[in-house]
Amino acid sequence: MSTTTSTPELATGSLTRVRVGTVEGGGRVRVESDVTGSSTAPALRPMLLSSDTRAARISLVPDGAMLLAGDQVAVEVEVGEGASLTLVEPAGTVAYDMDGGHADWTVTITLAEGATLVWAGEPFVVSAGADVTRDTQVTLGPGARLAVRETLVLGRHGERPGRVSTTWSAHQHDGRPVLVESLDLDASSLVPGLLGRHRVLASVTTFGLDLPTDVCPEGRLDLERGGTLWRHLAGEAHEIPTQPWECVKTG
Amino acid sequence: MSENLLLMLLADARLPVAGHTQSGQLEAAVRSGLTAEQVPVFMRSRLAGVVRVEAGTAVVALHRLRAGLPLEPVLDDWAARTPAAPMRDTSRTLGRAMLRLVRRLFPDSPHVAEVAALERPCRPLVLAAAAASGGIAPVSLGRLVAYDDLQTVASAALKLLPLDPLDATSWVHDLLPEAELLATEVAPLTEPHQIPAPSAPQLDLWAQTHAHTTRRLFSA
Repeated sequence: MSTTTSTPELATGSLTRVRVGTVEGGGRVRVESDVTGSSTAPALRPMLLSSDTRAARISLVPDGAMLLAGDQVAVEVEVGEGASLTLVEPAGTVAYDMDGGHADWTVTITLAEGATLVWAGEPFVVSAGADVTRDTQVTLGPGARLAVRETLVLGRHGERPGRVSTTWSAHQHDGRPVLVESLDLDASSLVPGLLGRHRVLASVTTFGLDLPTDVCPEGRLDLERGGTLWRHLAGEAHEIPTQPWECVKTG
Repeated sequence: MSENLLLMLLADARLPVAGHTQSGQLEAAVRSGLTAEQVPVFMRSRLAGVVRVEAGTAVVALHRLRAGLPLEPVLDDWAARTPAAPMRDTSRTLGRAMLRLVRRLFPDSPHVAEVAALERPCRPLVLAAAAASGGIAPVSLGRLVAYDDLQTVASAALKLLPLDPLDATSWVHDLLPEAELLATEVAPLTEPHQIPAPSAPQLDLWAQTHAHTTRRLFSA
């Protein structure tokens, strides 16, 4: 007999929802967060660090060992009109050997008009034998601003890479695509043109910031319909330049 | 007209469409240390990345031309899958050169007129117009895009590295099964959102670096 839940597809996983919106009359921003799913499934627990009338700062704290075979971690983030949210992570995530199994990591971001989300992601390490799907879907309201830092590390020190399939898509609220890409990475990706000899791929993805084109030119890819992607390849995570993320935070 | 003969014509390196100005990021790769032995792997990375995007874009555009559907969404989805501005510029520059030729070959084609009316169409859209005008099948169009890319890199390799031309041609030959696989995979696509979006991060970064280099043999 299986337990009945309202979201059966989450029986082996968890869904973390974070919603932030401004409040009429100028009070502190409204922060709603909840975690659903099986009680034994690993989840990201939102912890409010600070808030004021426009902005909140939340840490996504891992609850339970992750990431293991069968894990399905989902995060939905919604930022309301004119509100601002900063997400931080207390530490990086390691996807362990899954021994033929598989895990999913899914992020959905919805930004209303004039909303801001800054997500300072920590390294995501894909150990030998890990097999992970990472999906990120973004919907951008008019004038919304987004900055996401992601660092994919293929293998722990001295270890062969595991496998990670990522998809990333950002669309405007009217459905027009801004950035769509997929990366299927494993040991065979360490070749010229894909990752070269580098096992670390770092990205800073931004929309709505409109930084002058001469700011942080290294690794800078300016997208067709606005938005900038900074990409760096390195052998070790600590070799990734911090400059783009600093530009984004101060710009 | 024979589809095969038209394909041969469009795939011919002697076409006046500025193909000789292109290395497909090979020049930047060589500058950053790529060796002659690695050229076939480099060609395969292009097939896995940018060529898949371009071939998928061409096939979807061909379907929409034949179905009378607007092409702007195809251009949007291609651009969203091509994050490096120099790669977008290159595809559009080559598209313009190809459009001059295709207009001459098919002066009365409504498909060519439709693509010509777009603002700065990328090369796959122009190839789709030629395919729609000349009766080329989607899978053949995919083959054309993939084959042309292999030959572009192979011939650029001969100018950048001390190579035997027989080696370069045999590399192209050895990769034909992968080109065929790619063409077969993209052939059934009809919707812009179905266009494959595989990223090749190092190619994007090489394209970006090369665009800011003043001393270079190839424009991209």
